[in-house]
Amino acid sequence: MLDWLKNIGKDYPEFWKNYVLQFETPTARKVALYLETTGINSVKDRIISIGAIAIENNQIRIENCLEIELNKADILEGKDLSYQEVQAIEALINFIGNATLVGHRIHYDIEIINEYLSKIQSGRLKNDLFDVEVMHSKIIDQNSKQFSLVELLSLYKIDSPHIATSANISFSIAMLFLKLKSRLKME
Amino acid sequence: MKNSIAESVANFLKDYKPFSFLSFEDLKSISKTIRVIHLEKNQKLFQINDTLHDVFYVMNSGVIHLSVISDAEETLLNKCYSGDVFGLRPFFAKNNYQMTAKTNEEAILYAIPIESFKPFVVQNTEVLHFLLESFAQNSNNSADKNNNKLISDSVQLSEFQNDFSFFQALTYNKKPLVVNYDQTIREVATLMADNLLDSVFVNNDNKLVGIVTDADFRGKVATGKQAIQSHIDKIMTHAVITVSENISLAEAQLVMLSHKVHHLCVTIDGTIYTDVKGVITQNDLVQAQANSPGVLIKEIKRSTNPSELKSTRNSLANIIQQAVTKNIPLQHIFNVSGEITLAIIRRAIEMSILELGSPPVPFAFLSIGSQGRKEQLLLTDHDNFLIFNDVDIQQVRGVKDYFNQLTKKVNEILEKVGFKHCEFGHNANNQNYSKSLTEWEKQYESWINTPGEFTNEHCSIFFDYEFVFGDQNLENSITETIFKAKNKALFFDYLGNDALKKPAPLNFFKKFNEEEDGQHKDKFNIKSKAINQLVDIARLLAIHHGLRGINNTFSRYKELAIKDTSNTEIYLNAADTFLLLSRYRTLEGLKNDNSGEYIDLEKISKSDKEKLKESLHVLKDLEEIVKDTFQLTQFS
Repeated sequence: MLDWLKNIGKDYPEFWKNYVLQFETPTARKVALYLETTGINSVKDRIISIGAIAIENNQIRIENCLEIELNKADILEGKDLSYQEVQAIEALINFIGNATLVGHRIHYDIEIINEYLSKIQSGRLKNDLFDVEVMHSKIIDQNSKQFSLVELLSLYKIDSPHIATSANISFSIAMLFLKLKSRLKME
Repeated sequence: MKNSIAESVANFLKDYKPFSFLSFEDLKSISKTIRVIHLEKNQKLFQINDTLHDVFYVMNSGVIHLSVISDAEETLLNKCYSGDVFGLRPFFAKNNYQMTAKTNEEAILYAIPIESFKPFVVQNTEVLHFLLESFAQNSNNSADKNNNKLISDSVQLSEFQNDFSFFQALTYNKKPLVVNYDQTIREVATLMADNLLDSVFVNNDNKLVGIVTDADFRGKVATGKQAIQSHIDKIMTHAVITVSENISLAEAQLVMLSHKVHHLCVTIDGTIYTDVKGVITQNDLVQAQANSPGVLIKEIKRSTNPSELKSTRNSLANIIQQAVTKNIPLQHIFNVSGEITLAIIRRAIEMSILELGSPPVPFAFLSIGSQGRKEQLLLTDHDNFLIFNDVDIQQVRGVKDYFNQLTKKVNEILEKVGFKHCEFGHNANNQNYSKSLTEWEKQYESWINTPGEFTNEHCSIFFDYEFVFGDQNLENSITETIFKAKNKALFFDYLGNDALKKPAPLNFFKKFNEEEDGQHKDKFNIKSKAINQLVDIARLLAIHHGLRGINNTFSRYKELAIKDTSNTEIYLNAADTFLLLSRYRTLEGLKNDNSGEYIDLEKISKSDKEKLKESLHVLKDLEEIVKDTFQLTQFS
């Protein structure tokens, strides 16, 4: 709420300024996002790899995707952010822009990204979010049950990727999202 | 940058033509430009006269139907499944799409931009050939379809103008020989021999005046009546029979018969005053009939491996599809399909025996269930059992062993042909269903005498059997056993109860009882809620009235109408209803390549729905008959 107050007087990095600027124009672009992390604790857990792919006009654009794998050993050793991590986050922010993010239990991912962002003197993500698990709960009209990503994929008859890289998983999420979207008759 | 998504997509594509011709690196670079599209059920991707997309499509999952509309009727051209390539028109033509692509199931497609694929087409001739072939493919020959998986993309609408549509349009020689009337017989004969043709048209001043065939040479030249130097018009036959283009098989046949000729001349408008377009010979008619049931049975008898059987089964599916849509009486289709399926099973047994050596004792192989009743149109499951002659106790083991192997082989082959495995294990493969005659007689007796102890509730289908192969005496013995059993009251009561327990098709408010949940939500299960009960009651009453050798539901009701005169009306109604329901089921099954059990009522027109509802009332009447005839209290 009072984000803007905290941010007064702060000097943001260049990429962040660009990012914020994009929100002045609305967009229909969506990005399916998957982060491979060491855990779900946003304070101490770290990102190992990032996969993201764009969805435009109900079509998944394979040419428009992001795939970053970080060196796991380095990350687990060093306490501070390494250069490659800073680069990765920058690339991710540049890639997603003002798109609506789609993911499975995406709020964890957002938390972790925000944590990274605060370490490099930037604000919090402003993107709209879609969570495939929530969308599915809406379809079956049931909130009590939890669904893992694998369960959801098999429920909607999407083949789980042969090689489970983050990018491949984000691709599966994108397909799942399209199917869910048509069931929910979303525009 | 690494791109594992493109790699996964390339991995998918590499298994399918034409992508299999390309290197993995190439595929990866193509994959990078692909867009992935998701379509809901019954959504149109493109339709006739839509402007061309800048992409072509590869199916990832789901089913897409390609169809054209002619005479306000939608004709299905092709079904695309995973890995099929379609929508190639933008590669080769500039005009708009000539067909409609509509999903039949939720589908995911890869859209490959023409721009990114074109360089590979130019570089790689194999790819080009495949695409061209795919684009031009118009064959209705199922064997070809199996081998190549080509999806036709070019359709000439003119072929659909007459009702016979292209299924039975004739292919004939479109480049007939035409000679002038003043050429010598010798010249003409040489020309015919060079072109390997048996007929030639004779022109005078660009006007068609006659035809010369092999028969003319035989009758008028070889006999010495004409010298080979004389002009050809001396031996030609006058009054050429002409027909118009796009003539159907049936018409051509009629014209030939009524004029007693073997050759027809095809001209633009069917008169002799327009240009000659081709010649139809009797041979063409024979070839066009290659899909006829008789030819199929011959093919089955000649086939040597399961895949050949499979392709004939596919042709049968084509025949059935045509027949059903053309309103040929379903009973007739049942018979034809039953005979062909019978031939396939026989051939499967023969193949297995060839492999295993001749059987040690006589045996009989029987089909049960839907094939036993000759009511199998779709590739549903196939149930069967095997009876072998009683043998000495010492030999039993070896004999059993042989028949177990035999039945295993047979069922393997049938599965390859496409018959599903029975979900209840009702086939001879199951050791319980491959037994000696005495054992079977005992089994039937126990079913009849102590019906309450049925462990297997589906045993009733064992009372619809059809002899397939082996020694028919064994089948007769079983029939005897059934009809000789003394006290069948208990058995009837049990069956009656069983039949009445089936779920009702209509609910209290005279609405269809649709599925409430599961993947077939809101559809009407026509098999379990209507057909099963009709079949069960027919069987029960048939056994009760001692009808022998009639295993067919339709004929059973017809026969019952004669035997039990007080209820004639109801039985005749039931027979019609059965055909109607089967028809709906078959249409649904052909459309979706499944067993057609679930009918989407929303797709049926209102008048059809009413008709269906009306006909279902007969079930209530039948139930009343069953209630009156048997005492059902014992089991309820």
